[in-house]
Amino acid sequence: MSASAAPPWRVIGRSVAGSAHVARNLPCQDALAWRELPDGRLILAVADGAGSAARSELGAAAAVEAMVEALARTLDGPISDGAEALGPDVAGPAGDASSSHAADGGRSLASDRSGAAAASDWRAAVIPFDAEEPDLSEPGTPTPRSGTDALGAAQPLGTSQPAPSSASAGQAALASPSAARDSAPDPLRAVLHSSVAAARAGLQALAEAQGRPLRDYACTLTAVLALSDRLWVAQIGDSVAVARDAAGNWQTVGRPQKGEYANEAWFLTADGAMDQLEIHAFDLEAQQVILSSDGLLRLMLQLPGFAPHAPFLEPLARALTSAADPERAGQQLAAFLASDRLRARTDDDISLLWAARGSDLGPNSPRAGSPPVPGNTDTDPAPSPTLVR
Amino acid sequence: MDEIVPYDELFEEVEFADNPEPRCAVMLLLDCSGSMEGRRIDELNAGLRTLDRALKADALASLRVELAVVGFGGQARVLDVRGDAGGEEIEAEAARAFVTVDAFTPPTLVAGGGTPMGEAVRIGLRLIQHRKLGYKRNGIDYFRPWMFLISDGRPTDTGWEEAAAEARREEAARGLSIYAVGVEGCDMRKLGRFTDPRPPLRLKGLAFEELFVWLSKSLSAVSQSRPGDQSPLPPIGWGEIDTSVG
Repeated sequence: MSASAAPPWRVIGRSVAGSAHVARNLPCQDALAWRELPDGRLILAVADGAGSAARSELGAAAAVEAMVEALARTLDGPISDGAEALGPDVAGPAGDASSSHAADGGRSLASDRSGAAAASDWRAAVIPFDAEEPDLSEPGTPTPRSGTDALGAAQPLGTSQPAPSSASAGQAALASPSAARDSAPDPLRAVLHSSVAAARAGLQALAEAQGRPLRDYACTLTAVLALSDRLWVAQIGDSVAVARDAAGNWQTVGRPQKGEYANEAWFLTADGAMDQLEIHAFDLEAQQVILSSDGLLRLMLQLPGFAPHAPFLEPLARALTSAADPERAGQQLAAFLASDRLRARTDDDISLLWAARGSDLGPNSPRAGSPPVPGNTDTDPAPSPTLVR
Repeated sequence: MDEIVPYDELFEEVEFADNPEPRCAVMLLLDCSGSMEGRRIDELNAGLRTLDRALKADALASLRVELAVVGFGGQARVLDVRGDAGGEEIEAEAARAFVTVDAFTPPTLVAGGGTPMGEAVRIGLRLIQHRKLGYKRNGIDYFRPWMFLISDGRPTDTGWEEAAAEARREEAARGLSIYAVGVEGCDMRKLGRFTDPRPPLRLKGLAFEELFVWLSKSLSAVSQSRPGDQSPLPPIGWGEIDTSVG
């Protein structure tokens, strides 16, 4: 593969089991995955397993892997080296003292060999992107529609969401999906749709292989595809995604889908999931992107409008941007996510997947506050396709 | 220079947003008719104090659960359960009626009069509807509200059938969850009209204490529940499902 023309992304992500899960001997049911394509496009994904679903940690892991793989395969052709598909993690050893999951790409489904085999069946379910696809929902505020709960029973979505709060000057805002209408629907929309379908098909294959009902693997799914001047977001459920542009403005690009009640959510495994799927494109040159499951929702966003909370995001971004060693920064991130300070506010599983584009990373980064040293360009190791947990 | 910075220094400037907790509204409709006089009303009052103590001991429930009380004996009255208000009757206004656990003071109910159960349910339904509107206006997340109807008799107000029908419609539309508990002597068939198809429960003796402990545990479970959790309620030791009605 040719070397990336754009400087590589720095990606750091960690998931930790929530104290409520630890207390009930449940594993962390969040999963993260990402891949950078040779031309610099970046794929990020987070999935949050349903608490009561028996194997949702497997579901979440399979969903993010299948999503990332399907997207990458469609955008970049068949993977030339099969070993890359579930490659080893670059960041962090397995078996931290904390309850975080170090990334463990190749063995993410090692607990069940048949699960790993089943996850690879998603390939058969990928719909080539040049196939006829219906034109899906227009970018814009999602309208209330029926959804399904984890049991597949249809239920009305409920009343409309509170109106988003107006953006304060230059700062945090809800991004508006791009209003520009292409003369023809952007093929990437269909690519994202088919990749989510592939993720769902992967869960079906997993369920069949393990002889369990599909709902045992219930999870939400949010995926981001970052291009140089456009950001795509595909979402089912209540994870969140925010992006930062070069001017330093944060915008919420993935809003949680909410039912009427606080303990309801939409899952990839639900019957109506593909109707519930939202795909939006944002004309935005994202320099940083953050995905998170809902454990951090109330801490990193301002309700009711889901506006990004800059006092959370900015220092976090600064810390990760300026760190000299991304591996160590990942460990420190895991420790932070498992810290008492956070546990006092939420007992849910916590996941954070952060990506920053390009050069000027590390302690000498201008974004770290100190002037760049001439001739010293930070180069992160070329990232391998990675499943980050 | 690659100094190892401890994680809490690395992220010490990260500040958390300050957002309201999601709310779980609980409407208690309590029979204060003449037949409750004596030991029954005493046990019911003691049960309310148990509920209060149990919820206050649960950190998350304390932040999330809101209680309102409508006593019905002679008339249906919305009671002021905030602070030291003393359980006086107040206007049926949702923001005043619902009180978070930390500010809740269990009222002392007094028995007397007939059983305007229909009126109580009607008021309860309206207050819950208004509370939900209040949540939506203020951007507060909420769980599916609870309505708990406890009686030892039968409805004596005209129009109670319509109120029961309204309750059944609300439940069918998933607007709330309604539970009915009958104390000995209660007309379980009529009581069941309010919660159909969910059967009413018959209280064992005067096991109000156990009932309210159960309620506090159930509310704890709900207030912690996360998307997709189907938190099973604790086993009901205090009552029996009445299958004689149907």
